[in-house]
Amino acid sequence: MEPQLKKLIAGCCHGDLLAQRQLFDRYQSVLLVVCLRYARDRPEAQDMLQEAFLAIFRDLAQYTGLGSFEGWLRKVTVRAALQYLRRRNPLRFAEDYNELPAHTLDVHPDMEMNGEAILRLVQQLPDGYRTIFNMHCIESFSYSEIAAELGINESTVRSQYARACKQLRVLVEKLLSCPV
Amino acid sequence: MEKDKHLHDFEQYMRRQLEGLDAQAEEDTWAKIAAEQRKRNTRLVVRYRAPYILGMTGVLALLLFAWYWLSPSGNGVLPYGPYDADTAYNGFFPFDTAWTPLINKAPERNGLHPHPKVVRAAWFYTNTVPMHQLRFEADRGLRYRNPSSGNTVEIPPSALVYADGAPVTGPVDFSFREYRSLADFLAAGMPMHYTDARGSFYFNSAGMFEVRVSQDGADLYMAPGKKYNVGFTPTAPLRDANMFYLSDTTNQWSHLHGQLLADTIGFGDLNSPRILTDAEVALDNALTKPNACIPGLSEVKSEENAAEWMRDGILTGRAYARGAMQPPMWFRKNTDKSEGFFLKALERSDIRIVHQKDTKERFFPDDMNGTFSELSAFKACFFVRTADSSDQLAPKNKNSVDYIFRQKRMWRRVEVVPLNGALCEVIFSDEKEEIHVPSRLARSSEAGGGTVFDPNQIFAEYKRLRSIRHANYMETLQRWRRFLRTATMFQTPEEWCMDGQEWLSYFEDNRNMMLARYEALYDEGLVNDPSMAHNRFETWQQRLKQLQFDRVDQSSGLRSNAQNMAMSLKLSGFGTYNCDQIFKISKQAAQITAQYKTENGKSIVPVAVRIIDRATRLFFFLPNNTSLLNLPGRQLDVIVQGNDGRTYLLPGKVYANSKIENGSIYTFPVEDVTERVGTPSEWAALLGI
Repeated sequence: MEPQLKKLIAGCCHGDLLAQRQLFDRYQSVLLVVCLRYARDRPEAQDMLQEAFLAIFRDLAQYTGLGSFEGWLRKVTVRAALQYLRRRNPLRFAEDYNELPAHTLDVHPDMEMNGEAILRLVQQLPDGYRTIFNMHCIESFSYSEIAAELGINESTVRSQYARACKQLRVLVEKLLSCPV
Repeated sequence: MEKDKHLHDFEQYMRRQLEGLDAQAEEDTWAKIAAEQRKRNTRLVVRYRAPYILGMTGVLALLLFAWYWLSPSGNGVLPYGPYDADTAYNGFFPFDTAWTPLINKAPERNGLHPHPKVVRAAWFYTNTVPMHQLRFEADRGLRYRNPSSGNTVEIPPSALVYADGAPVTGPVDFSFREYRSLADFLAAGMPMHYTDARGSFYFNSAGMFEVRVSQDGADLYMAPGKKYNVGFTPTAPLRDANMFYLSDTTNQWSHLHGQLLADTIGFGDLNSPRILTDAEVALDNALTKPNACIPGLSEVKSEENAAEWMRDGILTGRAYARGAMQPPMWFRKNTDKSEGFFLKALERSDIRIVHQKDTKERFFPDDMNGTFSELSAFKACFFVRTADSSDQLAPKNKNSVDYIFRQKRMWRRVEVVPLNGALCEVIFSDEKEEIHVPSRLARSSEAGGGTVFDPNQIFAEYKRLRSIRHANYMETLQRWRRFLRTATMFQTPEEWCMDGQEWLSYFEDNRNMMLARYEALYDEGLVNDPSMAHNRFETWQQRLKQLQFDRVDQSSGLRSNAQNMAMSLKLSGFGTYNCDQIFKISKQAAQITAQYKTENGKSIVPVAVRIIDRATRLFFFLPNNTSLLNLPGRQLDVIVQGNDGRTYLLPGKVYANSKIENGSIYTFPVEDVTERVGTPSEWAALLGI
């Protein structure tokens, strides 16, 4: 680990607000993207980010220095996001979303096919789909890890993930077929 | 790619797209985290320091123990008497080294090497606001977008010239920085006032930017007739904002007139910037602040009694600030409740029914707190419970009056309702239950035989005492309600966010500031001049309505569309540009002569004085370094730059609690903060902005 980062972490652990501000400046962008994927919209992602940083500063002393620091930050952020979602609306993973309500699908014809557009599509998925999709596809959690984290069956995780991908594929195809 | 192995092509594609995203948190995110984190940091500090302190204490204890037992005297008596106060603690704390700042305090170099012929103002060389820098080919031009703000700069190909007018070729260095917060303005250190033929005014900024282009350290210029584009979005939709340009050499701001700007959207009058008042500017800042609070329309519905409300409110506030009056606890706990609630629910005490030993039917309501003071009318009397038909039907029913009447319990309220002669009904009640006990008033044997027992007279006295108590209660209630309702008229927008209980606590924590505020209102004549009070009230009502309308405008996007739109500026000069309102402080703000001294008595000779009014988010430089504004009731943070090159702070709380008199010379205590400030984040951390 680079010495400057080591110093920064030590400062944060000792309750130095200035060091915490520097850590925030350095990683807020990366972690906000993580939050944006778990949230339904930007204000919700902002709230998640705030909670994530509070959790990071609280648990930073537990970071042993093994493994990537950014990876550790992302993990804490995912946990904070999950907690936020649970608190706001206990996740209903057991529910079947065979068909998404039509009015929730918002694909604009002038939307370009880029990361921003895909993020919007992901944000439109129901909480359960979106969470499992992010955890498996982006954060590379295994099905069993997701099941343990969310307290649901592994088979439910598999089926929800498959459906999330299916729904996303439909949305992406719809987006690509829109006349520009 | 290793971790992508288990994913299909589609998922891998989604992953790549989502991982490539870039986003920036809102500007106030850190402020919210910092506010929460400050409290938690105490725990972290304790956790960090505890092992050292415990370890050192242990070692010291062991040493003392060894010394005590192994010393030649060996008599178990401590060799020294009590510590001498002068020598016991010399200010050295062995763990201070652990608090060595983590950040290198050396001033940040901005990487610019101005042309040797250009002599710039001092702030240019000490400015620590981060700068974005890149290199481009002069004959190919540049398209640049600031990733954090989204603002853009476009320099056309072959549009640059040297100081002598010769066209520039080859690689050139481009630098761009933005000033978007109070912390940025402080770290930049540039002057923040504007002067024209009409006078000198303060700035209220909606953001600034600075563009520089150089080659080998020498400044470059736009060729005559050429312009570069800046796409700039102001930080707030401020009304009557205009663009200003800061000259590097004169260090003066000048207004950019309409002909210098093209395709500019959202400006009112480009030719003569409107001069606003500090109140208008503060209002704009309050409205553009996220989650701004706006008080509800006052309960003072009738205009006739406005002066009366104001008088009561100010007199109560003044007495409260002086410590001569305190809000009663029942009011403090229920500041948000309606008048109906107070009338019904707050007459409460702890009342037990005292029965006579030999017969339970004889009783007297004993008010243990003395709240229902009218019961004193029944001195030397008692009540005899008469039969109740419901009890005869079901005497052991738990809902019967008889059953409840005999229970040992506390009631909250008691009322005696006279019926006929000595007959009456004694009503006991609490939050859940109410019983009516049919009774007869009787005279106690202690009353003596000399007096005539006249139940009607006793009941009349009871009613009289009861109505006096009611009137006192209502008067107290009215006084404090009027104080709370009128307080919003004299509060800062920040204070509007407090509920009644928070406001009372805040008031008590800032008594000196409140005393200054209410004394000023009293001196203004609002208490004794009903027409002035009435006018002030009407102005306040208008302002409240305007605030509500503005809020509607904002939420419907009308205002933000018109005034917070990105501007497309076509500019011909490099340097610093500012999107600002200009304003002047209201006439009431008197100037005082200010002197500054540090804790150890060192006098400071100010070379620049900067002011931050956090409540209104105003930031400005004082044109005169030896004078200061006297604004009672406002928390101004004053930052003084001394001629010794050091930075001093007069915190807002200290300013607010200073008893400043107009026309006086006042010496303020300041703190040397030089080592703690420099970069925007350090300023933000110091001032909590």
